[in-house]
Amino acid sequence: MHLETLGGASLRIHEVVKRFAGGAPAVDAVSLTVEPGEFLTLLGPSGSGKTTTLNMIAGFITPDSGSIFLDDQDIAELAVHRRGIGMVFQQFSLFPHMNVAANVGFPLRERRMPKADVQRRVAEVLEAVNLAAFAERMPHELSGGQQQRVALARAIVFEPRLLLMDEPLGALDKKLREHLQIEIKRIQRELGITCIFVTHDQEEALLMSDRIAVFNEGKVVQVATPGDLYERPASRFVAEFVGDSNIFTGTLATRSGGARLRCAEGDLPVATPAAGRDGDLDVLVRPEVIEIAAPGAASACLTGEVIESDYFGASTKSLVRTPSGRTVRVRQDRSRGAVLTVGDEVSLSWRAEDTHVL
Amino acid sequence: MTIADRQGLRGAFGPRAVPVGVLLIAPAVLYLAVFYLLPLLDIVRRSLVVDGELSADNYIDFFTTPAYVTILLRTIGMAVGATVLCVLIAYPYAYLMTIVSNRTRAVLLGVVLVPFWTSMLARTYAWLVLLQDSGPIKSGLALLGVDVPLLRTPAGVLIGMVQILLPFMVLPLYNTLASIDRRLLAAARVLGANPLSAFAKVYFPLSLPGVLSGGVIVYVLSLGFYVTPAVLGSPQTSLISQLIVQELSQRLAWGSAGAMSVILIVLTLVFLALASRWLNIRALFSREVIR
Amino acid sequence: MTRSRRPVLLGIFAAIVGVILFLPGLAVIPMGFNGARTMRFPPDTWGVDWYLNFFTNPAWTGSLVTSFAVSLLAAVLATVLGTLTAFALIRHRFPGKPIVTGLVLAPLVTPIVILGLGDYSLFLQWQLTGSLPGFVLAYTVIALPYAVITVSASLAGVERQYELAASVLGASKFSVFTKITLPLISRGMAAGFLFAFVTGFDETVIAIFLSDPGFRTLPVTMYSSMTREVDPTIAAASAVIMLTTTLILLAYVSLTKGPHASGNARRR
Repeated sequence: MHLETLGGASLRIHEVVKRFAGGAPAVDAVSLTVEPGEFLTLLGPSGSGKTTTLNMIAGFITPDSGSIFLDDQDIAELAVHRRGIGMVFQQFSLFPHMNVAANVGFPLRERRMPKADVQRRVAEVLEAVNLAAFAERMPHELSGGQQQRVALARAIVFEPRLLLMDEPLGALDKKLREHLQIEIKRIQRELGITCIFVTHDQEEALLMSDRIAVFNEGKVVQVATPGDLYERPASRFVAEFVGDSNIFTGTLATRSGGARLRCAEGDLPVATPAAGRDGDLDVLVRPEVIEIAAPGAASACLTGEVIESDYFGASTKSLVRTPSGRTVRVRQDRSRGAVLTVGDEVSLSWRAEDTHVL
Repeated sequence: MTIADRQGLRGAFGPRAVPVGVLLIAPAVLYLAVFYLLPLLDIVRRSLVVDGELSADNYIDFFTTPAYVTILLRTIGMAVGATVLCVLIAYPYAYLMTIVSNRTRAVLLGVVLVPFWTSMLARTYAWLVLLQDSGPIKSGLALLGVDVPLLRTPAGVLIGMVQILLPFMVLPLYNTLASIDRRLLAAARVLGANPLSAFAKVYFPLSLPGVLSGGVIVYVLSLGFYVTPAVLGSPQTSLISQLIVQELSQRLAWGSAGAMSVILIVLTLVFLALASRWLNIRALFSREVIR
Repeated sequence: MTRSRRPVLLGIFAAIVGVILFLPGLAVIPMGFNGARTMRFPPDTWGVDWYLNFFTNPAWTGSLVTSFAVSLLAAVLATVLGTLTAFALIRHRFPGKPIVTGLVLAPLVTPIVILGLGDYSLFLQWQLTGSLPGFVLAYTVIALPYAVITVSASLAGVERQYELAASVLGASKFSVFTKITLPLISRGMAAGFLFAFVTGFDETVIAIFLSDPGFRTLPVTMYSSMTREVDPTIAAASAVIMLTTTLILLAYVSLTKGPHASGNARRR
């Protein structure tokens, strides 16, 4: 069923700070701009400030300083129930004493919509999330996935232009989560609604987002598209948080044939850094760019012994220990050659341009 | 507490929690101050004022009258007796509740709770009729060759008291017993303890908090019993509550009645204070045992 | 841990305990059908005189009505105060919470004779003895803890998130309270009301202090009858009280056996 396009709001957060009792600020001068219709994910570990930021947008928490503009209107003083923002919570929060239809119709009744219109609109929205047959059920009769879809329906039924989602899929099992990720993305695109999504699951973020804002210790450390975030992380933290990583630390040495990193493991080929980068550098080498060959291969950057090999079906992830004692993560797709066995001696190589200087 | 509570969210009730909290609690506090504390203070006043002057005479009179002291001691004794009996009866009953099916447990619970909510006075009256000399229980016991009067004896009073107090013991005890991990017993058995030893060294210590909290409730309630001893007992079994009423109704001795009341309150408070300290220590102990 | 053997001994023991607990309550019903003015049990002869007496004698019916009125009003007052208190304790902060909690629960462990004596002492001076207000004010004190406990338990189970969700979806504070919070604690409030009512209905000691010939509750009429004369009407009265409170309780239990209103939204 095709929902009418609502169009999304723009959101601008400017230098917002929030402190709780004692200690460092939970949200430390965070600024973000969200375009209309954009799906922005706030990603970070627990306690990084992403949920607090979301709660400030919703209005549950008042910022200590800074401002929040929704469609260029300062909403700091606006009461929660007047902001016209849709929200979905991790624990679903369906009202246990109302059935599905009553839950979904609640925002409309609060806005004094005529009864007949409420019924029509509720039916439309339930149809959109494929739960039309469940209108009379009570929340406790539904599965987790169904409850979350009802929560989503309830959040969009009054046509908000901004949708907030606070780790909505955290309470669901993997398969269900994947299914709902696609559902949510589809509905968001169809409606054109601006969506801010909080999660600590980086795979989820990469999958669903137009852009991702990575939080750490109350600050936004990088805002980028999933591709940019994964391939060109701005810091060591981001590199390690998003995806598996190998980070080599050393000093830069320029040779004919390209830049090299001099470090404990040897001289490794790395991408040429921006002009002026000097001294100690961290370089990121993703496991999947590393080629594995028999020991003694001419193009080898490193050699080592396989100390662990974990089978994931479509791929195998292994740990290789180098003579200098450090472990390197490698990843092989099932299509690319024999699976490594613990104890094998291997040589590892990669192309300089596949690395990234942090 | 959810994250919502921890972060002091605004939610439905306004940004600042403290003034609203004070507003909401004020009616009850004021009400209790006037209709609970004031009456108590009035009693204290009456007990300490003799002929318009501050005096401890009422208290001295109490402690120097052997009959009164006997009654006080008897009250404590009966309370202890009732508590012990309640523990002995409630423990197996509550234990049974932990090992039966859900339906049976509901029945057992109902058997304890339904009388709990039916009139205490009615049940006391029923005991009056059942325990009388020409009543069915005495006749039944006589058939077994036991000829002992029940009504107007401490035994009769205890029966009535225990019947009313039992639910107060069963409920907290059941809560505690239900929370004991049965696998601990299995572990003890596997490690070589015989059933008796497993019970004594693992189960019982873990059940102690429930026994104690139930015991405290039962003991404190026993101290204040009036109707049951009045109806089922005799002047020789009088408890302190009866004495207080008697002082007032027969002698209009406000001071004396007041002093006795204060002594009873102090007795209750001291016990509660000791119990709360001891309960906390005990709770620590049972964890020490596991570690 | 499965038991291969049914606990026979324990079962017998529990059955005996059950009989002891239930026996007096059940026995009281036939006691009232005694044909003669004796306390013989089992009765030698049977008759309905005493039940009739209970429902026609103004001394009895008057005190029954008085008991109802007093308990009802005290239950209402206790439930209102108790709900406010529960909110304060569970949802808000204020100084001295442990002391206040102790104060609210104190009437539960205070010897009832002392409450009666104190109320009598104070109400004599305020001329509230033998009156409806006096009883209601005194009974609210002992009923309040029950209301606080049940409503608090109910409120504690209402996730803050429901209110936050309602707020975000457009409900004003008033709307959140009336449409979300109140329905979810209604069971706790009803339970508190019932417990408060039963507490007042059965209360004897304070009633003895505060009653006078012109104003007395049912327990007082029963008690004075019990200690002075042989009158099987007491048995009839007891049976009626017991059946009433049991019926109210069963009605409440069956009404609330439906889907658990404030259940956890997360189902595995």
